[in-house]
Amino acid sequence: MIEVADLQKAYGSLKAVDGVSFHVERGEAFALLGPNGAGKSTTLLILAGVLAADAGTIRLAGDLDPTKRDVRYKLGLAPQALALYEQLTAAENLAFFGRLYDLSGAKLQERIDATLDLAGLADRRNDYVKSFSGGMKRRLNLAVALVHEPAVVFLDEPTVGVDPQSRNYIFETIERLRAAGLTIVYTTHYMEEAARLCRRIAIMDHGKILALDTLEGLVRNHGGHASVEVEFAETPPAGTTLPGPLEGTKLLFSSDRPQEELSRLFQAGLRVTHFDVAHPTLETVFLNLTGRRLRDE
Amino acid sequence: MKAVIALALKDLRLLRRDGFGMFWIAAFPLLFALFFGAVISSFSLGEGRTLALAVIDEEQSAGSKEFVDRLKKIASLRIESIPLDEAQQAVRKGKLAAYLVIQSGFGEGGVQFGGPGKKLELGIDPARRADGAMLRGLLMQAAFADMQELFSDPAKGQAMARKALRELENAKDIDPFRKATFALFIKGLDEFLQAAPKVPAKKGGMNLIDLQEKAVTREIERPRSAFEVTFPQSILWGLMGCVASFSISIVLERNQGTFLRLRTSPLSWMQVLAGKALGCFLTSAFVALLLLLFASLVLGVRLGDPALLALAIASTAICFTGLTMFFATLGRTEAGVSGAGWGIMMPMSMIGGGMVPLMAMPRWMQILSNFSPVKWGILVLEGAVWRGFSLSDMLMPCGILLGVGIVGFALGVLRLRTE
Repeated sequence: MIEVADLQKAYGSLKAVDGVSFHVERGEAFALLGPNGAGKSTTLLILAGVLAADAGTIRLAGDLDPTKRDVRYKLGLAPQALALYEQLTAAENLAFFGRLYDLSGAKLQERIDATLDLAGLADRRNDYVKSFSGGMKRRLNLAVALVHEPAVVFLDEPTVGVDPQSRNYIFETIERLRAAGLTIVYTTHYMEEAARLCRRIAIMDHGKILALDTLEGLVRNHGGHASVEVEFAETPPAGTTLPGPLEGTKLLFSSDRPQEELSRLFQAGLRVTHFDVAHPTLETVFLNLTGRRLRDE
Repeated sequence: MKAVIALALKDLRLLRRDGFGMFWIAAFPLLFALFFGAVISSFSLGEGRTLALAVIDEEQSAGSKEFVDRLKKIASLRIESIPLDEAQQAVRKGKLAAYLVIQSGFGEGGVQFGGPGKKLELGIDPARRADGAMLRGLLMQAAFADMQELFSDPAKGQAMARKALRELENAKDIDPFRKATFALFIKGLDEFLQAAPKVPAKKGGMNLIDLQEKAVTREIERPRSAFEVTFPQSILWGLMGCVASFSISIVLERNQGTFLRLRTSPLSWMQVLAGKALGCFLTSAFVALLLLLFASLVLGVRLGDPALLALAIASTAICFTGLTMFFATLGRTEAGVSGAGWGIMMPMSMIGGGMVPLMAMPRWMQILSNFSPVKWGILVLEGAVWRGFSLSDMLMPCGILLGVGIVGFALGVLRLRTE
């Protein structure tokens, strides 16, 4: 559905997007994960035809030009910054943007109703947007991107600044869209969102894709070993083979097979009072790839 | 096209919900027209003009009173009877055009050959030359009416003739030849009057001149009221209000993020700007119609030929819509665009007759005003309302307005495309 090859975009000496390549299958939910300034939004805006790339190619729904009129009917964008008319009602916003895509009459009403339902705003349809909470505005921002039934939707950090309830609602909405076969490109700096919503994740930093795989693949290839902490009832006898250094009665080690190591300790007759296994996560992956934590950004 | 209309309707809906913006577009121009119309109405536009004249009758004779009565009957004079010093003060302060003193000996003057005329003193500011000339003419008119009465009433005429003959016989400083000639003439006149029947002056009698007056209406049309001048001006102010409101609409779209959605929609730049322009044009035309309807229904302003009026409104609205679309693409902040819009429109209004009517401007400013679309807008609106323009008169100014509008719109599209 989407093929990107060696995409480049620079602002002066700053390379915002530096040789990005990936593809997204039809009906796939794909995440661009990275800290602020990683180049995620710039990549998305180039895909949506808002920005022109300095170099590289994009093939979107079989077409090389995302600014072509026919292609634009197939695309939906929920920008990071809210893009709504505060002086219009929720229904009026949807009606206006629907008409830009040639919707009218019963079909337009049907789409307005459907997207309001999807966003959980059916009972607020005739209220001015200026009276909405931040979370409601976010949901409407997403609904507007969907009113014309696009085949591909670009969601740029759609949960920024929303309350947990609205965040969950947005997650459920995206899961329904994914189940309905919509192709989704999702940018975020929240690892749990990428992990929950997307099949594959591209980790971006400084305009480059550092790794691209499924969650399991990223963890397996870049997460390193699980960290294991074991507390013994007494100091193990001298000569006992241990997988790591002993500090008093506490054993710390890392392993790609932590269960096997633990069962070997139990089989050796050692009395274990407590153990803890920390499996690698996207955070670990990012730490391993960049040398810093995602949350630090 | 549906998307363009949707964009225009959305902008109109947003404008309708912006009370402050609506004030500048519709209410302010109306207040402007009413205020300046009332102010200008307090000055005369030239028609039905009257001169205030104080008359001090020092003689208080039957003849002087008749003269005053005749002056009072002249429609273009407003006669006030006040003491001389008050009259002089009022003339100095400009409250009266002039004062007239009917001096002692007034009745004796004007009937004696070679003698003095009727004794009058006219006090007037020498700078008021036109008023002075007009007054002298009106005084002559009243004096001639006195002479006409003399010949309409033979008994009165005979008495005057005999009195003149006695004075002539007693006069010592007149050449004997001339004295004899005058005496012969007066005696002949006396005999003539003796034979003439008494005829009321209004029905004929002897007239000094036989003047046939023929009304020739001036070809140059004039406004019937000050509101016919201020309402076309106010429409231009309304259009400038539209410029102010719509020129920032693209910046507002940018600020609220919706510009991004417009960019990713299937609309081209030209369609986006056309949608904006359509909203601006409809608002401009609506405001112009609203103001003119108010002016016509409430203040009796003429609307002229509806087709020419529609052409004038459409041309002016298109011109200002095009300019608005150009201003809208000039900057990226509300302050920048708004400042640029007003910064350009205010001088255009100043030199184009939007503030002071062109007819009141010096010649060099009237020439400079040709560079302002405000001037052409006012001209076509006035042309349709009271100047009595024909279609051919309208073509050139309407063409200029349309040209400016089209160029403005094209520049706006160009600027968006090259962003």
